[in-house]
Amino acid sequence: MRSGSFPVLVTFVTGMTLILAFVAGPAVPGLGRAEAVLPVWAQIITAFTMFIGIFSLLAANLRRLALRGEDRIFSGTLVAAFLVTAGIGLVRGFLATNDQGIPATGAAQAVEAVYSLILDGIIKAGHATMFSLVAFFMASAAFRAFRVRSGEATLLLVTAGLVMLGNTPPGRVIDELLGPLVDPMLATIGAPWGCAPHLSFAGVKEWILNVPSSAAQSAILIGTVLGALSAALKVLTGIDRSHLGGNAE
Amino acid sequence: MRDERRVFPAIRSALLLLFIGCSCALEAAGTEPAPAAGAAAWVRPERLQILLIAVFLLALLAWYAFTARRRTDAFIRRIPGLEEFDHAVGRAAEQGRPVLFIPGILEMSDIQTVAGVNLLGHVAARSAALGVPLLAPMARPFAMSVAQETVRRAYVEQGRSELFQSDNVRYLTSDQFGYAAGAVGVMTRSLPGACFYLGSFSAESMLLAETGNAVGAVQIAGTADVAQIPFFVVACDYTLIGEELFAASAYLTRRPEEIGALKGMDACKLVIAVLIVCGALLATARQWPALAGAWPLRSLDGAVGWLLTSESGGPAR
Repeated sequence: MRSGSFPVLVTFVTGMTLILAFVAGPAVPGLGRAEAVLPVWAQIITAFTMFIGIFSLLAANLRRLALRGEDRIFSGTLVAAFLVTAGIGLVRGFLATNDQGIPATGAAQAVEAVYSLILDGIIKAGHATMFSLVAFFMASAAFRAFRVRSGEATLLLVTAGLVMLGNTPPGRVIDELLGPLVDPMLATIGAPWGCAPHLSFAGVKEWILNVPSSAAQSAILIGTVLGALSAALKVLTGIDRSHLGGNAE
Repeated sequence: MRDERRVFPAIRSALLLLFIGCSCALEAAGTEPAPAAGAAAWVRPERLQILLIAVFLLALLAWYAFTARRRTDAFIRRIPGLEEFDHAVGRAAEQGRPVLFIPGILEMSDIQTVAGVNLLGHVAARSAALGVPLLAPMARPFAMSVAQETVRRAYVEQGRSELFQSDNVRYLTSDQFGYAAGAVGVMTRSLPGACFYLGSFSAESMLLAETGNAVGAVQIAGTADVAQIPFFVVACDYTLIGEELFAASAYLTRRPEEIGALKGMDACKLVIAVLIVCGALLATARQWPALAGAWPLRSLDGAVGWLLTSESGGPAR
């Protein structure tokens, strides 16, 4: 067996076992057990790989600190934050709590307070800040994208404008103001087909999301699923060996 | 800490031993459920539909992939984003700026990450050939380990192993917004000339792509996450949409097996498209009372009903 064939064989056997386990009935009980156990193995491996991550993180930043690079202030902050958070977390796990899980001693309460400060005051606040930034970044990206430079950009601008009007109060105000003027004309247009449409940005928004947008998303999803199936087949059969660190034979 | 080429294999070996130990313990703790008497079915009937469809599609894919060497007329349509891979790295080299590559924020168990790491190898080879530093901040430790090996191998194959720095492919954090903050920090400090975002992304896609735009990088993105595609389309120069991410490897390498799999994918899509058109026509025809009882429509009802009774997920019982 060539070197490098063994990992491909392991990948193939594991993949086929899981595929067969998914459809196997009670007549093949070993496969049923495999479907339950193999994902647990994967979880255990993933949990232990965290040590590789921690090693990489600390090695890179301690090396940068040792070399006194210009960004060492960031590395120092990261290493200090890592040690403090990990230390507090470990100490907190060993301190006594009462039946309700509340710290029993003064020292335990102090550690809990610091832990809460780190979790609520820094980590959660940081998450909220980063997530809030998405709105501003979205606005700046939309500003660039909606500049009318081509037919596609114009279509994007008009569609986005209609969806925004359908989602916001100004759309309803326009509906109420212009509805009495526009609805009779729309009724005249729709009469030959037996329908009586009326001005509603919310309705236009619903149509855009449910018909053209949904159709495009479905088309992308079909392609994506088939692409994923094809990629999985390539991994299973060893055509693609990128998960082993490269495609070299 | 100095020589990670020795330390990482040691950690991997330790993890393998732990894995074997834990799996043995799990096996010992678990008991094999006895099959129910009189229920000796080989295939679960509620999943038979999925099995048949998957076998048909996989057989089609496999046939195209393994007979690819016989066909020499394979045509792949032009995908601008993929053609710009080399140009983007070249532009970064001209500017004397590094290249940044993010293969998504999920673990190697996600097929998009596998596709992303595959493309990382191509970008790493090009970066090594041009002597451009390649930065790959990673969100998952196992993916980082694979990415490091992929980049190292690409540098060795280009004969530029002395340029490889393991610190350039390093783990940041598995926390979504913590990772976004870290990656944005890397971008604003190192000012990459080209940014590649190829893999699975969530809300952080906008933060990454807009920061890349702010630092003036050429940006190429690709994801199969439908919700993130619009963000990448408006913020990046080129976007690989859905399946194009999985087709990228075949497009760049032109290996017969990969191109064959790509053709197989197209054949599957053709079959699905024909089925959709037939289904739509039959469903429309059912609106006429005269045709409502015709056999194709009754068959359609039966087929749809059979497909909808399929069940996916959950362990075997």
